[in-house]
Amino acid sequence: MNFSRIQAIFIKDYKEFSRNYAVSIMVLLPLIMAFIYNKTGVNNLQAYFLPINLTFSSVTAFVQCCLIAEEKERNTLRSLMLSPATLLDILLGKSLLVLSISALTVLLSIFLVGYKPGNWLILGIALFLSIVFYTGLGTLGALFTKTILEASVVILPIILLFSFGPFVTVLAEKIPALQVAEWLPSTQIILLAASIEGSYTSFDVLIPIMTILIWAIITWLFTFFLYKRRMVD
Amino acid sequence: MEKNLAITIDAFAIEGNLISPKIEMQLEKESIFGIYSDVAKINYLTKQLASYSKIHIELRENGMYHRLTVNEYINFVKGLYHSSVDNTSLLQLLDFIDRRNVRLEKLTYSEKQRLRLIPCYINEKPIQVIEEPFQNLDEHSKRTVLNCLLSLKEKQKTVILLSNNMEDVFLASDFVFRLDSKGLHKLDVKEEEPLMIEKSETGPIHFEKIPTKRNEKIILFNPPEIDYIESVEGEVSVYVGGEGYPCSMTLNELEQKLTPFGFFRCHRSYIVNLQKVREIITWTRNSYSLSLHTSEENIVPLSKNKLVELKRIIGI
Repeated sequence: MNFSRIQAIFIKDYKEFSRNYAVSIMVLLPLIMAFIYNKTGVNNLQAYFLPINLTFSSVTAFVQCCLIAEEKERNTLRSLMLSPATLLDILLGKSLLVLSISALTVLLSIFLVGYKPGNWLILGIALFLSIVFYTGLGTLGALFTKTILEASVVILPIILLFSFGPFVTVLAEKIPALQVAEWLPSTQIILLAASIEGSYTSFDVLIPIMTILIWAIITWLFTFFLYKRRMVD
Repeated sequence: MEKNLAITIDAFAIEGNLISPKIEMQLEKESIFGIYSDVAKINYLTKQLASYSKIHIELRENGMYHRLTVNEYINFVKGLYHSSVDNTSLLQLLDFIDRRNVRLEKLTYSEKQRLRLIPCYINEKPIQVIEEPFQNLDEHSKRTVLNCLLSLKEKQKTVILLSNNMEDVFLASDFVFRLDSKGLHKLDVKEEEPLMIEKSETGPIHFEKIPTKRNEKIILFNPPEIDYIESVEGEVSVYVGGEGYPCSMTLNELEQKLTPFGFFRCHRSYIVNLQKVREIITWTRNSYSLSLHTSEENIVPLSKNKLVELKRIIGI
């Protein structure tokens, strides 16, 4: 791990990202949605969190997936791996960029949709952990993609499952099996947001944060395990 | 660090077909080595060389970040390798000074190929391997690449060029090698002409080539080029690369002239270049043939009484 290498990769990826309109335009999607929701006057948490959860999958996971897929597509990953930069340097450089873009987009979405959370610190921790989880998800997705085109296909089930997963809990009364959707990180963050609006115990806060943390840890462990195995091949 | 750097690469075969033989190389600092070979061997070679920690490899098909400008790309590579090379001097060396703010995707093919020298120039490893440095480049780019290779040499680096084009290898290298299935052969690139002029002034003229006539043209062959010579009804033909060329000399004259070059009168009407004989085929107890390994499979008869002499020459 080396800071100047991470920085070099960060700057290079920032320039590539900002000039690749096919990918960077995705940032606008949750922002426009947040703006429209605000104008139509919705005020429940389920609606507030749709643009935020959409940011996680369509910006965080998608951009990370595209950044790695493009390196593969252009055949640059190979020379990058032959350089002194390690896999960790490369992934950290990219993840840091994705983290900054996502944080900015999430904050803008919250502002545009007009959501005023009860406790910024607790929500901030949950948002941060979510971003870490979705970055891992994007990295994992990049393993199975070789081009940007494939990356945009891979991202569709992720958007469906994680961004629209929370809506499934409404149906859980009719179909008990759908109760599982409650444990999605995107549902958990809404539950957390709901509890910090009123009076809450530390237990109410810890459960969602721990759930998201476990999702993040499992995803990253799985990703590193698979990458190591691919490297050997 | 030791002055000489040694490289050993094991032989490689697929299903019994030898792709690349075992290679041992002694490299020296501040010199450019050229290896000329075919694509399959070069591919294998690059894969093997990549495992050496002292070697940096630039492949022919290296990827490129389309949306960076030349200057940004240099900054990126500098960051990767912790280098403090001056951008302007590097831009000047590679002749990108007017194109520094052009995105890489807008560069011409030759310019894109020149980009490959940026990592070579920036990284600190003692050995730089570059695959096909001159392939399909325009004249101007060739000169630029050549300049850059020379400045790499000045930086105490060892450079290895891999190419399947002999001319490209000769263009820049101090030492040229040819890699074929038998191993690595050093090619002598010394200029020998002054020596020959001196010789011809002092002694009688030694003319060793074999004159042949074809379509009113006189073609001269070096003895080692010749596969075999055949005489049919008094007409002597010299076979080179599977084609026959009529020759006005008799077989006896040719035999005298060619014996020092390892030729052998294997039959009343045949002289064969022993260097090219692959196999002695025994048909029956009294009939034999020599099989040559030339581009086409050629078989030359061998007389029974000449077999004894041949065995003596070969040493069996």
